[in-house]
This record gives sequence, structure tokens and C-alpha cells, in this order.
Amino acid sequence: MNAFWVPTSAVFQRDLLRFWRERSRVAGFALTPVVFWVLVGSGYSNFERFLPGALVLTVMFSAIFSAMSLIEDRKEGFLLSMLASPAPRITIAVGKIASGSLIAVAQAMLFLLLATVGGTLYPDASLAVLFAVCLLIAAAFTAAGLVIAWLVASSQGFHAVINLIFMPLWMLSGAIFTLTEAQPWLRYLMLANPVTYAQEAMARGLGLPVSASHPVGAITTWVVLTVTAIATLVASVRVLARRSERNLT
Amino acid sequence: MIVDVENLVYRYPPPSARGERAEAVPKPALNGVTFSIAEPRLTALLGPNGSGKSTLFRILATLLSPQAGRASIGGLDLACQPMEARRALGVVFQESSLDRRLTVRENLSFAGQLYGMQGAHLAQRIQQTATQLDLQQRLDHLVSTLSGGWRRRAEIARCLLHQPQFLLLDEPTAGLDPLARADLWRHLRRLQDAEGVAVLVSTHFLDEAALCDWLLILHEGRIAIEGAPAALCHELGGEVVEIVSHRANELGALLAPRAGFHVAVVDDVVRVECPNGPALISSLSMSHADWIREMRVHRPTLADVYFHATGVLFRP
Repeated sequence: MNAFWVPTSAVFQRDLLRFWRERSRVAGFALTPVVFWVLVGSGYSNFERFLPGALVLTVMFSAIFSAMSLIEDRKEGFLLSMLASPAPRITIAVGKIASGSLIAVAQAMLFLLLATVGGTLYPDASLAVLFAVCLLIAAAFTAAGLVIAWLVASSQGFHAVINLIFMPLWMLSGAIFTLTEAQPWLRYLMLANPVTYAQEAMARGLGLPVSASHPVGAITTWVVLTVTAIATLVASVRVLARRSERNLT
Repeated sequence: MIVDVENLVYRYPPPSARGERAEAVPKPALNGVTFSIAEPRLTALLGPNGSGKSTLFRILATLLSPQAGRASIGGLDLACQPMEARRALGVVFQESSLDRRLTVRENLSFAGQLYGMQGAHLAQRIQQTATQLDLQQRLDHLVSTLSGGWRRRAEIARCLLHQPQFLLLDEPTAGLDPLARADLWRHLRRLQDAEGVAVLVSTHFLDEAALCDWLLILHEGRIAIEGAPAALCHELGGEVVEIVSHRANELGALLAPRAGFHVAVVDDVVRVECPNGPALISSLSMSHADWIREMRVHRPTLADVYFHATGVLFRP
């Protein structure tokens, strides 16, 4: 078991240490929620409509971009030393998913803490549910980010793919317009989009009224989120276990 | 047998991108490499850029699988037991593989944990390897603040933590100034003596190759010749005379039939391996003075060994 946990925790700790040593990342981490609450929270009245979407966006992108560390590791040559070590590839994947998820969830929790302090959190909100939702989203998107980071050649390519895939996923999640406001064909697309369920779960966790206009049940939401997280985790482990010549240069 | 390599073949996939000159079948990077290292000694792998050194290293580091042939480290077959073989192996890659935002100690600690080491044992090994490479004073410095020579030594310390039987270094002196290069070689030699670890160093510097106990010359994907550097020079025997001439081909043809002569013409230079260099020079300066622009004589060096074995001049 040590052959798994020792390297995994090493990868996890190193990523956190790198995060902590880089001031711009720490500043971005801490100030994003502040800016959001100060600007949007105080200047817009129909706020709760966008709150779940904003939270999902925060967690999603924080998680995805933490996977970019894999591209940096490759560029700096650091990845080679990990690949040539006896540590199984799964430890790289799990360690990175854990660190990326921790940072993303912590940022969401900071976001919610500010809301609580500011008195903007709804009375029906459940922190436990919110935590669980954030964790599932974070794990799923760090893993998805790792898959993309492993397959693309550069950080530019990574950004391009992220914008191509994940921005539309977020926009079609009900964050901007709800399911009932969409054309029927688009509604099917939205229902096939896992981020829609993240958005739903987040709305429920926040204690926002889930009206009849939200035809997705609570159980369905959890099942989809959990399955998505497991599927991306499995995919990331399998992709990282493949030998890839790009990672050798 | 510490390292055993038999008939390795590796061919990179043809370039698929349009615009690149696509040959139908690319030349193999390795074309039947065979050698073995039986004793823990300092072995150099000499070859110019493009001779297949890095490909061979990637195969030995278990990062690439050869298309044919087999390799084993410490009796462990790289194809069947790559994970076990990795424990017997330490690799210093050509590119730095330290995390520049971490201190030397943090880097070493991370590397040790990848090998499953932890706690007091790991801390002790970090101290020991740091002492061996005179890194104690730099353990808590960020790697980004260290010079190239210190970084290289930190990398070597990183690879020694788990006490491998076999240490593989891919051009460890690339980009170092002469002082740091000499220093690194001193450390390698000392390590090899103290630890009894087998070391394989790739290099494209002849003077570095001369410092090793054993030399492998890699040419066009094969080991062209191997032996102890001094012995290889000695085996050539006699002297090497280089004659610069505007009638190099004619002069070459004239000298080739002589007994004990080995003659080659490269551009306008006739290269002659012969038993007695000064005698040849004095006789030629009498008989063919008007053909000759310049003549030099020297005892055989590794450059001559390389030429003799491969038929081409050594160009790093």
C-alpha cells in the first residue's frame, strides 16, 4: 500500500507547495470570490439567479486549470523523472486530482464563507451538500483537465481545447438561461450536459427554490454527477498509463 | 551482469506532418545495439548528435520500448519487469528534471517518495547523498537560484537516493562551463569509487570519454567499437599523419598499397595510420614536396580511434 500512498501524497504535496509559492496564483485564488461578492453581489439585484452558475464556473475552471501543471511539468522536464520512477502512473493522476480538487473546493468554500459573513447565504442552504457538489465537480474537471493536458502539445493548445469544450458546457448548463427558456432541441443538449446537473445540484445546495421549471430530480442529479466524476477519473488514469512519445521530449 | 543489451532496434515513426520531408522509411535510430556492463565501472557512450544516444538512454530508462532486441538491468528484463528494473536504475536526463520552485531538499524528498522512501530513512539518505556531492550548504536553496553545476549535482544526488546499481547520465555536462565540467567528472569518479555503482555516461566530448574506464562508440545506431580508451589508442599503434594536399586523391592512391598503412582521404586531407610517422613525413617532403601544403603527425587519439572504427571524422 505504501507503494501507492507515499508517491501519491508526494505528488499532492508538491503541487500544493508550488501553488503556495506562486503569489499570483494565491492572489487569484483569494481575491476572485472577494471581487465577485463586492462587485456583483452589491451591484445587481437578481443575483441568486446567477449564483449557482458563478459557483460552478469558479470550481470548474479552478479545477481544469490546475491540470495545466502537467503541461508545465512536461515542459520543464520534471515529468520525465516521474515517468522513469517505479511509482505507478495512477499515483501521478490521483495526486494531481487530489491537489487540484482541494484548491478548487477551498476556493468555493471561501466564496461561500464570504456569502455567509455578508449575510447573503439563504436560510435553506446546506454547506454539507454544497461541499459534496463542489468536490464532485472539482474531481471530475481536474481529471478531465489532466486528460486534455496529457494529449495536447502546449498550454496554448490546452486553452484552445478548454474554450472549445468547457465554455459551451457551462453556457448550456442553465447558468445563463434555464432549461424551459431553451428551444426543445437545445433542451435535449442541455439535458445531456453533465454541467447542467452540477448547476442544479448547486442551486439545491444553496437552498434556492427549485421550481417546476427545473425538471431534473435530486436523485438523477447526484447519480449523473457521481457517474461523471468516476468516468473522468477512470479516463484520466487510463490515459496517463499510456506510453506517449510526446511526453518524452 | 549489471547491464545486458542485445540487438536493440528502434525506428521512430515517420513524420506525418505535411511540409516535413517525409522519407518512406526513416533510418532506424538504433540498428542492432549490443553491449554489456559486467563490472561497476565508469563507462562512456560516445557519439555525435543524432547517433542514437538519447534513444538508447530512453530505452534503458524504460521510457521507450525497442521494436526488436532485449535489454536488462541487474538481471531484470526491461520489457517484462520494468518497475523492478527502475528500482535498480538511476537516470539523469539531459534536460533538468528538478522542480525549480522547490528547494534541493524538497526535490530530493519528492524523488525519494516516488521510490516509496519516507521518514527517517529518507532524511538520512538525503543527508548522505548531499554529503557525497558536497551539497550540504545548498540543501535549502531554491533550485532556481543555483548555477548549472550545482543543479547537475543535485540531480545526481536525486538519482542516488534509492541506491541504484546502475546510474545512467545523458550528457550531464551539456551547457556547463569548463570548471563545472571538471568538477562534475571529479564527483562522478569519486562516486563510482566509493559506491561501486556502475555508471554509463553519454557524451560528445572526446576529452570526457578519455576519462572513463571503458568506452562504447555509437555510430549509425550500432556500437562501432568498445574498449578501454587508452588500450583503444594503443591498439591503433604507430602514428597518424595528416597531409593537406591539393592532390589528395592521387597521394592517397600512392600511399595506400604500402605495408602497414591505413589510408583515407577526407576532402583535401590524406589521413595515414602508419608505423612510423616522422619517417613518412621526411620521405614525402623529399619526393612530393610540391603536392603538399601541410603535414602533421601525432600519436593516435580517441578521434583517430573513432575514425578508424567508423570511417568518418568525429564531429560533435
